[in-house]
Amino acid sequence: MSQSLNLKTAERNSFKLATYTDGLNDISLGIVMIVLSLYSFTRNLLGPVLNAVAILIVVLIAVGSLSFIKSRLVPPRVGIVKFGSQTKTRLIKAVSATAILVLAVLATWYISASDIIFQEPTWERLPRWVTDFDVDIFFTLLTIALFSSIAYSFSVLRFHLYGLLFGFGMLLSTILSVYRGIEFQYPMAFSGLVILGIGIYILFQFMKSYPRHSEEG
Amino acid sequence: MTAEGKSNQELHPLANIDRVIHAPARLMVMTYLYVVESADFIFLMNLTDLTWGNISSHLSKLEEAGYVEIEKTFVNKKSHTMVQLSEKGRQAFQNYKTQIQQVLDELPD
Repeated sequence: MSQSLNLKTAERNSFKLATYTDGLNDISLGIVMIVLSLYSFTRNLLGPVLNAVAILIVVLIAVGSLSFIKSRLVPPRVGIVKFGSQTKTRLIKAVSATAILVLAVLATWYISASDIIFQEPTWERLPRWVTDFDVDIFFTLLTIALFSSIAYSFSVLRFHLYGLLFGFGMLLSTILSVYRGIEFQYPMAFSGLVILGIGIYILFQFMKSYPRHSEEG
Repeated sequence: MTAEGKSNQELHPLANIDRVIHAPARLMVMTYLYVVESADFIFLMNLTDLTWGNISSHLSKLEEAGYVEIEKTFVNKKSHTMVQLSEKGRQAFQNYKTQIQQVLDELPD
């Protein structure tokens, strides 16, 4: 009974079923990461402007195609739901609040590691590869924070893993590029492939678990 | 109503509970409809694990009570049914929630 009356869980379940059950968002994310991993590699071939345009077009085509597939594949299996504006606002607030909390923890860590408070900053004791990539580390942590906030807010636990894969994929790619001159972003491509694989697996499970329904019964 | 009956009403708030909502399956349907703007039969079936026949019969009872509004449309020549709570249904659910919480709060530990 208490489970039936838990409105927050009901709202979360509804949103999760409508949004994250089919694996197509995961597939989109995986494809976008694989395309992004080609960015610096294809820049040498196409030049910076044409490369950016080409990458953008490929990403738009991939995401657009998957959105179209979603619109055809999901409603006959999962059904259709419309969320009220209050629900959308509440869900956005939940994600924002979690992201702010995670960022506040990161900021506290940064301040305590720098010389803002302490005479001898712990930051300086860190290895050079850390201090050389402080901006990249910040964006890695930011990415992990955003994915974690989605994972926590909607109880989609795999998004914690995606945050780690995306964040460290970016960071390791930059480190390899600077230290080894490797243009192709192998870590990013690997992360994208893992996420794409998970997405395809979820899609197959979804097709098995949610057969097509029609109102004729 | 006898004096004993009146006394029972005062002593047992459960006696006033809305029985249309109180049935577990209908309570589930009402709960999910309360948190969304509207949903179709298939979405409700997936969320509640009820069969087509079950959900259809429960929704008919809720419609009879005026708690839900059912709209049938045709999309690509296929019938499509959207359901949403009416204002009366929303109010009834809020009352039910208050009553049941009151009953549970008043139980001794």
